[in-house]
Amino acid sequence: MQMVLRSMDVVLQNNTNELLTVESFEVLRGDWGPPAPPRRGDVVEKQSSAKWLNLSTQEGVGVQGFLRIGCTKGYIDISWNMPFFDVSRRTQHVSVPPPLDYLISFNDENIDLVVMMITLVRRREASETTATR
Amino acid sequence: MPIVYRSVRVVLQNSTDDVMTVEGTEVLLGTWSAGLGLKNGESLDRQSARAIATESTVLQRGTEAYARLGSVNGYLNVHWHLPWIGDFRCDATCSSPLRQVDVQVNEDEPAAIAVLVTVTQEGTSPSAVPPGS
Repeated sequence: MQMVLRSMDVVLQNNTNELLTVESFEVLRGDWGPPAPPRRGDVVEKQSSAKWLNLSTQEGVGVQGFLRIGCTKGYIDISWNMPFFDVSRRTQHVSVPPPLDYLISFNDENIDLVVMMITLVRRREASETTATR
Repeated sequence: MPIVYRSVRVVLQNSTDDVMTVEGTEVLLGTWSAGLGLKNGESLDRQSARAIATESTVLQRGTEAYARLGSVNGYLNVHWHLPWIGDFRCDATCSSPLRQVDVQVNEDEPAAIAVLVTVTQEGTSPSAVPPGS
């Protein structure tokens, strides 16, 4: 088994009642890893989650890819790029349609094997932003 | 079993003393849900309810349908459209000034909408005529 040199785990937590549908995806660098690559038409049920892995086993090759996920409000676009050299230049981009919002966090305990967690949430209305004291 | 990407469940509540007969109904996008279809010539008894539903199991396709029910007091027209992306629409009209129609939409699950269409006699509000009374 080849050694994984760089990887980006993409975890999507759907904290809404939207049915999310994977509509397009691709890796520009590296390969999809286990358990399985995304498939067109896969769904992330409401209040559910999914995970995809983009990995590289080649010296000098980083990981880069994107996912485009549909819901009734529009499209959620997620992309990432982690170069092999100087992984601190890692970039990512997430966009969601206006009625929705997202939170993003990373686990980079191992800087070569990063986990990106995106939580999809409903955008808070101004009336809901009452602070808890 | 295919994934249901979009679905609309319509409950017709006939809170009048008229027997309604389906005089025209078609699905424009998608299909009838199993066991919840509607056919020309079927009837909706006085003071009764009936659930019908359409769904889409095709990626990037919503669901749309209409039903036209006749009675001694004219026609009830119901049309609904849940696009792949965009807002759900449901229009219900009665041709007779002696009948009122009320539409309540439940969008808790934006990809699986439920609609209650209540027809009442003029001068009675839907809430004043509980189902089955």
